[in-house]
Amino acid sequence: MKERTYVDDVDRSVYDIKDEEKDAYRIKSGLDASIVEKISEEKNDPVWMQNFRLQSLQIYNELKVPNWGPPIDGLNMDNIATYVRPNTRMTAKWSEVPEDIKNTFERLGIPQAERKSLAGVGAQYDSELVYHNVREEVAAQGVVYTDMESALKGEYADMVKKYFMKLVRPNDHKFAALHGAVWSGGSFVYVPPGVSVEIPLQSYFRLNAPGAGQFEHTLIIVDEGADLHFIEGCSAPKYNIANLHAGCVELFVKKNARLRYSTIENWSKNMYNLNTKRALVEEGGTMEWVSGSFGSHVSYLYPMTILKGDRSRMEFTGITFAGKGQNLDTGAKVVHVGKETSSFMNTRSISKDGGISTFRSSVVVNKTAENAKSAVSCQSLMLDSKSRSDTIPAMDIRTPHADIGHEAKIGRISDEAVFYLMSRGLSEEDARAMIVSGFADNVSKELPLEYAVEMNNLIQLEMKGSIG
Amino acid sequence: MVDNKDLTVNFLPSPTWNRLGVNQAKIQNIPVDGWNSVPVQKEIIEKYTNNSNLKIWNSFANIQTGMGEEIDEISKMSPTEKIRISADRTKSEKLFFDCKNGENAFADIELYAPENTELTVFMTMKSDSNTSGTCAVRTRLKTENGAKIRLVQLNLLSPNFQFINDVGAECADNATAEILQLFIGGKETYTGTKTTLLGKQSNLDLNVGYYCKDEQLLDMNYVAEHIGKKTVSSMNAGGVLRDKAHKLFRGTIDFPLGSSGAKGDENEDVLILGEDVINQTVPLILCAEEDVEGNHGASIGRPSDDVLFYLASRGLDEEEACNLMARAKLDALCSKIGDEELETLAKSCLEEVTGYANEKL
Repeated sequence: MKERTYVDDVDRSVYDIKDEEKDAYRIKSGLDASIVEKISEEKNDPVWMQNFRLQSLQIYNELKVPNWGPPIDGLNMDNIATYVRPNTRMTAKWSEVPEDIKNTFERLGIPQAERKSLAGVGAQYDSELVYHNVREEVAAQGVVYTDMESALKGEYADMVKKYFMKLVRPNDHKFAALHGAVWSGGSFVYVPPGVSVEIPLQSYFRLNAPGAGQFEHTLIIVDEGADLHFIEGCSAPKYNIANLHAGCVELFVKKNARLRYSTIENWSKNMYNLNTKRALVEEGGTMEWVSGSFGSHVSYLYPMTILKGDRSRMEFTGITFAGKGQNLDTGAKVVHVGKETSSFMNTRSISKDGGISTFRSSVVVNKTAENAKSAVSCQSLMLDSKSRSDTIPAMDIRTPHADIGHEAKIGRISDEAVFYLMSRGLSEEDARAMIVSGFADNVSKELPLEYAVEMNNLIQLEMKGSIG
Repeated sequence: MVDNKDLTVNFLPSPTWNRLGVNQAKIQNIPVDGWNSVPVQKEIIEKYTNNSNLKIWNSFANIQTGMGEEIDEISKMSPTEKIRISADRTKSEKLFFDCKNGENAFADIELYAPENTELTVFMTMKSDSNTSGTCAVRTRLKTENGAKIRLVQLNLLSPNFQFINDVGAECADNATAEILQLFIGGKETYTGTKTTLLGKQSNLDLNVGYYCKDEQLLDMNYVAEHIGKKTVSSMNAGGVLRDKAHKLFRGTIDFPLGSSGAKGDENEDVLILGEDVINQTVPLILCAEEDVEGNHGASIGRPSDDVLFYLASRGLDEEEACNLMARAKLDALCSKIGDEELETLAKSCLEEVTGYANEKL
């Protein structure tokens, strides 16, 4: 008898906690100018933001849905509530967070992680932040870590206006425009020149409301010579109706700065995850992406890096695990503009039990990017013949002074490896789970220990019941 | 009155971001009128047209080709008869396309290898210098159990010609399609090859070489579809880009459900020697079967510093070293043509376009 159902019921329940939507404000479902204006009113937006939202809505209405990715026919914006505000205000004390919401975050381990290993935490529940705090010693270094709304209206208003959706413009694609129209929540981070934040900051996004969308905006500026590790986590309970996540992440890595952005995405399997992430890296800067995609019904997720400055560099390390009912289209994009820039993408994808995993990438090397180097390595593992795994990379090279390499492999778990492990006393299921964990090692070794453990648990969970 | 039309061809089997401009190609301003019949030798036409006595030819219309269905539009506009060549035990034919100035010519060619036979067909496309026009060729191949078809295509057209080259192949059990293509000439070349490996243990061996310079455009689409079990495909492309040349390579290995035991490899090795070159490479693996092995690799850039240093120590400056590398890359492919006369012809054309003679190698 398969064990997976049992394990699913036990372990998934951590992510499947459903809180009652009591006294929360929920905007009517659908998308039109009156809804966008209502969101602006609820959030008390400055005038420029009100106009920006309406312009974005216009762009949204003009753009078509992508004709190249997984189908998103099941997503009907008429059924999505774009703004759901929990019945609480943001606080810097967990004790002031409503009991049910606090319990949810407790069970997800966020307050515990904050105490043990984080320099600051932002916790978003549906459309708004309910908790935001940063350690005193980090704040004393001049590090700003606050919610986007406070940044938009407070002392960083000019900085927000200067950078907000300048890297991901609303006309970039339909769901960037949607984000521009209805965004809410998210975090603003500024790390002053030369400051190294020794332990990571984390934002956790929780979508509780059924039939709702989450559109948080994350804006991070790491100034000259500074260093930051930012972790993003997300989850939602599973409902029988579609939920939507169309967040936006804009990262500005200044001269000789370094930013590591880690994500463990574990949305529920009714989620359409149409997220946009982009980084602009200046001279000598370093951008590192670590990305684990486990959840969602459909994902379109391709963090993009623009290596603008000379000698800037990026690394992308990612894993995607597509199981039953999932169509995860993930990968990365890089544009080399500066001289002697370098990029390295190293990804793994696993498909199982009818899941569809697609690795999609683009490497663009402009004429100006003399002596650029890029290497892409992607490996895919098929665990059965009900599943599907596609690899769709593209390279556009416009200078002779570049060194570009690409390799991809697709295959199955070798019988010899399983046999060897079984001869050492492991069951076939455990042997296969161990091989898959090893296959994902490139990502887990890049994560802080707690998150690597969580990722391995997710893999073990997915692998249970994979035999027979 | 409409005198010209556009054709959309070379569709990427699984599209990607539209802004990359690689999902398909558009051939603009194809003339609607004035298409001529096949510009090959008279004796070939006499021998192989009206050769419709085998029922098997009726099935050739179902063979999918690499450029897609819109090539039919050219077929409809052309008065041409099909050239149909079938093998006995072993057969080899050489087709020379002598393209004339100002002419647009289309050839519709079908090649058939019955069980355990072997057919080799060489196609050489040529035109006089300072001429222009369009040479369009559609070639469909069908190989029965244990049979082999070898197709060698050499594009040696003059620099103002447009070349449209559409190939489709179907292989039965243990059958082999061996395709070698060399693209040296022409101003614009659109080429697509789709091979359907229907039978178990059928094979595709594809080798492609190119040398593009000035403002030449080379737009390619290669697809190996593994339907049968234990099928094997190998696709190797490589070449040299200079000046303002623009090359787009699409290569797809497709493993649908049921293709267990299949193996596919594709590789592209590009030497870029021009400051204004555009090189686009899109190597896909599509997989719906667990028990398969697919690999692709690409290497793009200039010769490494180590190679340049070594050649400099032998007295070659960077320009000479790059020329030598370029010639060496394509000479290796020329030596696989398998016909001395054509090999010599290809090498002499190569010498002409590269400006680097054989003796220097």
